[in-house]
Amino acid sequence: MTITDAMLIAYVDGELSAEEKREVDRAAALDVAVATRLAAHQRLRAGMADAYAPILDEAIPAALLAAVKGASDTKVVAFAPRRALPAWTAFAAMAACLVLGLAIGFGAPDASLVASDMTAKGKLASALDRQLAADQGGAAIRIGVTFTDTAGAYCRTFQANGVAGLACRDGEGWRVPVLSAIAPQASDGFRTASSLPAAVAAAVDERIAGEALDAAGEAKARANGWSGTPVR
Amino acid sequence: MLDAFQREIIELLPRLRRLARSLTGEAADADDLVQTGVERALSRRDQWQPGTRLDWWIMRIMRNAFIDEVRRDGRTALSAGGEDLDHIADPSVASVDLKIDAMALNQAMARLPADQRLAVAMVLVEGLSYAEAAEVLEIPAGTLTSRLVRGRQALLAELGAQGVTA
Repeated sequence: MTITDAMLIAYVDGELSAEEKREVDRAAALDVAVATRLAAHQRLRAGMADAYAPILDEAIPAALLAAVKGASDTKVVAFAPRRALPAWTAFAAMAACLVLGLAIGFGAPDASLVASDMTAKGKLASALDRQLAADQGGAAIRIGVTFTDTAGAYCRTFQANGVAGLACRDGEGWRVPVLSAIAPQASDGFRTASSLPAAVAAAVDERIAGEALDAAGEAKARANGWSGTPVR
Repeated sequence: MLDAFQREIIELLPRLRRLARSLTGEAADADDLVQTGVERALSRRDQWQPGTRLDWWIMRIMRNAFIDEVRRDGRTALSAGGEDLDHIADPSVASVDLKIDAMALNQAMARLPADQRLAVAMVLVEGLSYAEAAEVLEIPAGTLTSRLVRGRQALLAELGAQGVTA
């Protein structure tokens, strides 16, 4: 009988009955053309498995891990195209998160950072007052993006001790309208900017007027004591 | 915190990435496909029935996303057309003594119509049985085998044409 490629392939895939298998074996023994085709299909099967197997051992890209973790998270990049956040903010936020991810574990929101009336206090207040995203060394509290809200007040995102939040200038202090726990670290200890908690990302998106400040704008705002409607 | 569902997906990521790479050919496109699959799986997690295969469910989501992308892109054929089997052995295949090269194979995969690529990927990359692959792809067994055969004949012919021989 004629041995079709369908039979040879099913043979190679282990999908033939014992009887059909014997038939193919017989044909391959008698006909070198059948044996050659069979060998080609066997090599193809083995070659396919080998070709893609190394991918199993590759490191999983952080973006994919973030996609699994931040099921409901809005990404920083998701609103970046509309708001045209300068590239450095992404780098700063990423660097901030990476350092934070290594420095501290996941913990409950820290009462030493935010007072019961939701104003920043202690180290958070000083970080918001003094730290620039581009220059924060090994600080435990990391400043992300600084921008002006629709009411003309400065707002800054931050991450610290397992929480991320948004703080907006209010009088002489910082009001913290949004504070959100950060999901636990990736197994490799790294986090990326794309996993900014949804609540914080949404709060930024809601409040931001125009674009985020660049490094110079941020430094200028600090020099002015974070007061008044900023000069653009 | 990660729940059991998310943890299970993380464990599946290496396999999902491997499958996606065999479908799209490009690492970046593959990870985009996996990401789409993961995001859709998470957003529709209430539709997944516990006790059924989560991996197959996500693979089905990825298949749909892949087919949508192929349709949108329009560069590769979705289907080779008729599903009837061509039983004539290709003499060029018979004479080819193959030494399979991973890169050549990946390029040859990328030239297959999408439906054949899916069938080949499920059986040769993911290692599913015919019954399992037909179930994941939601196609009749006969359709699966015909796509498998045509796809593999095309792969061998392509590799032969590329001169990937020992």
